[in-house]
Amino acid sequence: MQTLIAMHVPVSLMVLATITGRGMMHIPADLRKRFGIRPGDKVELRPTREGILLERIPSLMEGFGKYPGIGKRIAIELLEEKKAELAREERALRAETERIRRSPRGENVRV
Amino acid sequence: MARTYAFDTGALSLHIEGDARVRPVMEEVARGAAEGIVTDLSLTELQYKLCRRVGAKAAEAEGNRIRRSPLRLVHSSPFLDMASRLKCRYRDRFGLADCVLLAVAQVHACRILTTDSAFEGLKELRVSAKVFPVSQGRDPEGRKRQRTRSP
Repeated sequence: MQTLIAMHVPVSLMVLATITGRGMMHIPADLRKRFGIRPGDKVELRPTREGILLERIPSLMEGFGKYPGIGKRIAIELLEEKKAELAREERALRAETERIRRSPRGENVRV
Repeated sequence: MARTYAFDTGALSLHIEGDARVRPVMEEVARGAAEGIVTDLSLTELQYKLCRRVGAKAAEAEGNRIRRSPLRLVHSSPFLDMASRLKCRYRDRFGLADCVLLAVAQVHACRILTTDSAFEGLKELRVSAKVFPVSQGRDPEGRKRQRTRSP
């Protein structure tokens, strides 16, 4: 959800705000409500060509349970992949050790 | 000193899953009562796994949410030497990303939160681990229901 505070917006959407001496600014209640901005929320201010883009940063807990069914599948898939990779590595290492062991002394071993 | 948790990709996956076991820890981190650490590798892993399922845009949005959250994103490059030594020691137990996490956890004295049972009984200085097991099988309730139906 993004709010663009810019000079060139249609008059009907324009909201005037005054910057205080310490750089503080009041965001009107209807805009706060519309963009879900609540006390304690963090916002990001990004300079753009048109002005300053103010974006509310979603909280960590807003992501909790965002993908039910998917998160668990990812966790399982990762474990399976890890197990397979470790087994592959181990097999390759054993095969390499065996090749070296069987090769006649002094002969170059292609690994 | 506040407790520090290091989340692996599995634990992050349980967060987006909405698993009740990780909720209290995440809430602790969200309110600033504990510190949470995520490595760049874990976040990348989560993002690419999510990307395949929900698309790049949604996966990046999730990545950004974590990046801008109180969870601290730790870059792996300063830990690579240590991680390579750990990988050498635990070559058949941990993957490389796990070893990076382990190195980060040692430096920051963390409790590792993971879905990987390989971390159980880990004996490394300054590190402990909490395993949240995941399995593909049906939930216990599901099994109970099935049993009552069968003759």
